[in-house]
Amino acid sequence: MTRAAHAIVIGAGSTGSALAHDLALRGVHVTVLERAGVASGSTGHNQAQLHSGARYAVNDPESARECIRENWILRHIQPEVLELNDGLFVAIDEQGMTYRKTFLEACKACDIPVRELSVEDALRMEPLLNPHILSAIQIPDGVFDPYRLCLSFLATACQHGAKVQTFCEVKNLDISNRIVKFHSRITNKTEVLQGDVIINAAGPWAAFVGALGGLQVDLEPSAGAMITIDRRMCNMVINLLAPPGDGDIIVPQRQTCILGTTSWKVENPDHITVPPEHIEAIYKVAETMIPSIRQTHARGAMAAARPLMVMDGTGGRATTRGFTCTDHSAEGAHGFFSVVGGKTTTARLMAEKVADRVCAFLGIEATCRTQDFPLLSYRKWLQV
Amino acid sequence: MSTVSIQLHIKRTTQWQDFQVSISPDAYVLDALEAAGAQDESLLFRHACHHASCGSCGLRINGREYLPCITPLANFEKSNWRLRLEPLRNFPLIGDLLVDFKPFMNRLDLIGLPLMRSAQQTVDHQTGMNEIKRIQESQDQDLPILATGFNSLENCIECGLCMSACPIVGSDPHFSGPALLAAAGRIAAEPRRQPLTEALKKVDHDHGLWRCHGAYECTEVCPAGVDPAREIMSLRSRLLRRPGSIREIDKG
Repeated sequence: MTRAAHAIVIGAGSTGSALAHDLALRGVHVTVLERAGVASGSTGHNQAQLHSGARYAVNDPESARECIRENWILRHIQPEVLELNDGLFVAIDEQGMTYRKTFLEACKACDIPVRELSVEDALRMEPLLNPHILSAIQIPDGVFDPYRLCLSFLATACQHGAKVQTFCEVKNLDISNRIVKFHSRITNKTEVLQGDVIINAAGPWAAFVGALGGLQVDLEPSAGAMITIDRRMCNMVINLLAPPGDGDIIVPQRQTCILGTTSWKVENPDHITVPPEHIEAIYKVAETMIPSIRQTHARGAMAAARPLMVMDGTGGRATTRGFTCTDHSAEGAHGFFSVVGGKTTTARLMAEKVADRVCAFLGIEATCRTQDFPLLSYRKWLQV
Repeated sequence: MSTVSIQLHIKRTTQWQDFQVSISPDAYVLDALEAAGAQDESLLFRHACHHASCGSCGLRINGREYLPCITPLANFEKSNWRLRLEPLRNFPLIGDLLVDFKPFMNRLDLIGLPLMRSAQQTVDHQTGMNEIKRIQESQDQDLPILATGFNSLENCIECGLCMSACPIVGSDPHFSGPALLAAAGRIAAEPRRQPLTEALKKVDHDHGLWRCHGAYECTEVCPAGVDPAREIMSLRSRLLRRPGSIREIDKG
């Protein structure tokens, strides 16, 4: 029997974790290298919304379709990391009512189920909502614990032979021999690892990782600020029925709510400081949906960088939330792939498409099994 | 933007190390720690969510357990912006501020710590649930969920602060510990699919519920309002009232 092909995945956020799981299920020997802890980058501090796709239905129908499909799959393969209470889109003004028709048609076109509620019903379900809302539409949003989702993917990958090395930062890439040089902060040793294939899944840091091997990875990290408050003000995810904008989503999680987000370009995704004016901008929109929101206390404010694809200079919210997988063989790096874009809700799908490409390159015929393979509990994650 | 100069006295694996960080006074301890990590890349610590959801960043600041992600630096103005950072106690140390959660996770898994609870909203959520039932009965079941009312992940984020703060965990390695005992209390309060007697059996012993001596340190440091000490006391009283409990056998 021949040796299993070896794939090195760089990054243990949602993309890298889901990819490790997918490849391991297909019989590939996987090593994941992560420079800090699991989900310590953009995945860890995202807004925790399991998207129904409704937010993207009008402007980015392809992402919307991917979201709803993955939403159903995640409910099936890992319900223990999800709060499933649906979401509401609420219109607060005439502009919202104008957008309503476009929104409903777009959801229908993307196969996102909607239920139009009377204002009275919506207010009875969510009594803290602005009593002056004009319309409420229920959609199958949810909430997840992104850290636990990654741990579940990785625990399942490890069960199938994957090896995950956290606190290991890649220092150099030898692209012609597919050798990764990395430093472990735990053992304080620099080691090298050779793979049959290397996949750069470093999210908004992907350009930095690519540059270690002299490769160009185009992406535009776009930061988003969020505020976590100390009260659960709603049970469903509350979205503003209007074109996507700052602060238009309130995500309840456990006993808190996460308000967000904003959007601005950053060069370096490390240590992003939240601009004070963004805090005010978020509260201003949030209180149009839940007026008493300022009566709560902020537990913290944070920012994360979305790993957006470059789209003809538009950037920010106009950019698609889809993803690309780049094969760098044209630059002389055979067996080196970079994943750019995407979001945690669609991480499994990204992994499937990337793993298809990787397996085609490796000549492995195994098909993807992740869409109906239940994940292990995050508590079965037994690494650091 | 105004900044303050923060002094971090950090316990590394083999020695203490001082860091000086210039940062906004509105920032959180984790921001300062990340700035220290940028100065010395070998510094080991864990973090993910930055809003007390993942429970991965817990450590001790000036002798008390905190989640640095939601602990404002401003809290330490009185200590002249000097912070002493140490890893959590009662966990195997991996290095610097990083501890091994494996034994803790295994223990929680053993009792089947519940993951979901019915959501406790700040307002009357029963009304909301009744409303959902009424709407669902009157409409097509086009959305597959909400059938059982609103739910939420358990309040316990499994951060381990209580395990570090508890004086008994430090002196009795077999002690179940506050997180697990609180989990049993949650199963008793809202059994759902967890078998109640099984859960109680796992805590109704000398190293379980009856080992706690009521220091209440767990409740003091819990960042999620779980109140493990109250759960322990109410489970004890529940067991004492139950025929055949340890105490009753003792009396016989």
